[in-house]
Amino acid sequence: MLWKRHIPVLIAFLTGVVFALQFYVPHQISQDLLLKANKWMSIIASFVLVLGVISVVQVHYSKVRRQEAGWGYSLIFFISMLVMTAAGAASEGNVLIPGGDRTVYGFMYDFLWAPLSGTMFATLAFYVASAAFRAFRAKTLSAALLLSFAIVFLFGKVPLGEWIWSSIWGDANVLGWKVGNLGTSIEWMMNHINLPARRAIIIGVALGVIATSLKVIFGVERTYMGGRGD
Amino acid sequence: MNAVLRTVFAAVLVQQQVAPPANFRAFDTSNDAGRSVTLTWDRMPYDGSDLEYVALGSTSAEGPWVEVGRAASTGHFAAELDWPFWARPASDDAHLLNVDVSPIIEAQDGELKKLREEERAIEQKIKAAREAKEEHRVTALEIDLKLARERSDSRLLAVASGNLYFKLQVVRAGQVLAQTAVMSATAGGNWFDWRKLNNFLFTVAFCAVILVFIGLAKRRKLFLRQIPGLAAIDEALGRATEMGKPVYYMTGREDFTKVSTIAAVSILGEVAKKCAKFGTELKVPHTLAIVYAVSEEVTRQAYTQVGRPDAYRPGTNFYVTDDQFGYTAAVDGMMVREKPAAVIYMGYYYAESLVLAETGASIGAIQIAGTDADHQLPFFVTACDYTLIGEELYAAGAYLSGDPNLVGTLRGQDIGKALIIGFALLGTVVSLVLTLAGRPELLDKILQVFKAY
Repeated sequence: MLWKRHIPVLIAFLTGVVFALQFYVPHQISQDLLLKANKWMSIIASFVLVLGVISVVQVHYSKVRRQEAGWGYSLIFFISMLVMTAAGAASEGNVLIPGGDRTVYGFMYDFLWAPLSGTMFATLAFYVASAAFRAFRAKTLSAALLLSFAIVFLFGKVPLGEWIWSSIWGDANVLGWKVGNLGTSIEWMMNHINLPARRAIIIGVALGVIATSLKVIFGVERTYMGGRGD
Repeated sequence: MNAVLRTVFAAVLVQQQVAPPANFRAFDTSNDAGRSVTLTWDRMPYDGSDLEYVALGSTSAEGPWVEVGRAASTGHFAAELDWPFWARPASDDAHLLNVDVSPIIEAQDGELKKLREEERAIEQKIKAAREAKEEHRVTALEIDLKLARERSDSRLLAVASGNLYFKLQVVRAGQVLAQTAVMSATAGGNWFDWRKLNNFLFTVAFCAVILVFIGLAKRRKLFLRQIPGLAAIDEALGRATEMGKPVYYMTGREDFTKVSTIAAVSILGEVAKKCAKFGTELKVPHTLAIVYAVSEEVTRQAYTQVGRPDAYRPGTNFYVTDDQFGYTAAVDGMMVREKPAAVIYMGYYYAESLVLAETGASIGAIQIAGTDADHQLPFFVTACDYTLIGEELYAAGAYLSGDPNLVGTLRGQDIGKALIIGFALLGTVVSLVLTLAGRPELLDKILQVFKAY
């Protein structure tokens, strides 16, 4: 109980209070303390990475051993990991060799990892299109409103759309609002309708963060220690 | 001979006209880590002309003097300082100059001079190693440089915390017309940033409200409004159980420095309990090893707490990779192959949010998301069945567990929100009234109370 409950809660309390107060203390000692704590966090995270590697190896090893569905991917994982580690070790972690040429590791990084990562990122464009299609189906009043605002915003944010819009509306004036000048209207909507809504979310989040931090500092929330200790 | 006499006579005349700056003061700059001294003096009758003030500093009252700052007589007033009214070190119309004391100490302290020379030598070596593309040597030298800088900084702070001397000259076109008496000051670090006093008091008040409501929640049951996204967790887990398919749970892409990750892991504990009760398979792919290690323990404990330690499989939580799109590709692949019945995304997400959620939607999984990443909320709202928006993520742990201690914090949060809404409404009215009454300076002071410094 002492080691699994009281000591961790005490550590969380002390570090929580010290680093909450640290924000208000400009003294060099306080700045150094924060710097040192950040370094310690990086060091601990590096050690925990070993656990991560063990986990990933265990998961894939068990898949290969049992020849579970998709075990071929696990085999590819092992081959990729070994080849990349060997390349990294052979290149001593350097991406470039003296003279500016790429090392094997640098080559693999630039011509294998980067394109693969970029490709995955690029799929986002297709997912945005499919998500937009789903979101903009005007089945309900709110969805129809969303769709109409989206169309107006698209016109206002794209130069071609803005040009088409201004060509349609010209100098039309509705109760002092120049309908053709869509860019300015969009900016107004972003700053006066969209931004306040986002700020409301951010304020709620900030209060939630403080409340959760307090729960952790005072030991009310102990799930992160593996249960509430009861 | 006459010309020389005329020049001397003119100089004497100008000196008689320009009095030394009045009320010249030198003191430690407040709210900083050290290394800075603030000089203030009164607005003078000759301000606004082509005269300027030159601040000189020394480690000795007799000099030699080093120039540490220069201020045009038309500017550098305390009012220009972006500090709240309660933390301003001088009246708004007084001149104010914050000067860095490093040049004085660097010029006059022998030990610091030596340390700076060492730094420069290392910098030269780094430059040479970079040119020779000796990356390992650069790394080693950069560590040396960091240590050398730490030594210099330490020496600088030690000297700065002793007595330093300052005087102020009134100068026109390089000619000194008047100067003040020598003042001494130290440049030590401060233990409280008074500019943040408003923040500190608001935080203390909010903490007090939260603690009061935790106490109240222990004594009587507090009402908790229903959050559809959390109520849907049971539905999602039930569906997974019926279909005999796994539940995927993700804790986001941030480590425990983000409070949303703590909330996500806390919710994981509750979800794991329900999975253990229903006998549903739970899979938790992780992108950060430290979150994986903690989640593993949380999940194991959850299974034990509901009396099903035997049902816990060590591979429930597993680490995938730190890489953003490597993780996304791996989880997408697993989702497409295993077709989980439910996918739960909690915590902080970046660009991968839509790729993951759209993949989940394409396989027909019931999806519940909860994030405080406001930029990703539209994506989750679009692609998921239920989304916990912002603060609801933090409420989830309390909602699912029903623990009165946790429920109390939610009521505290509500009071905090009510206060902020009240301040916003009051602020709008006050701002309107003061603007109409022509009192912008009072409005500015009120706004400073609510500003972050």
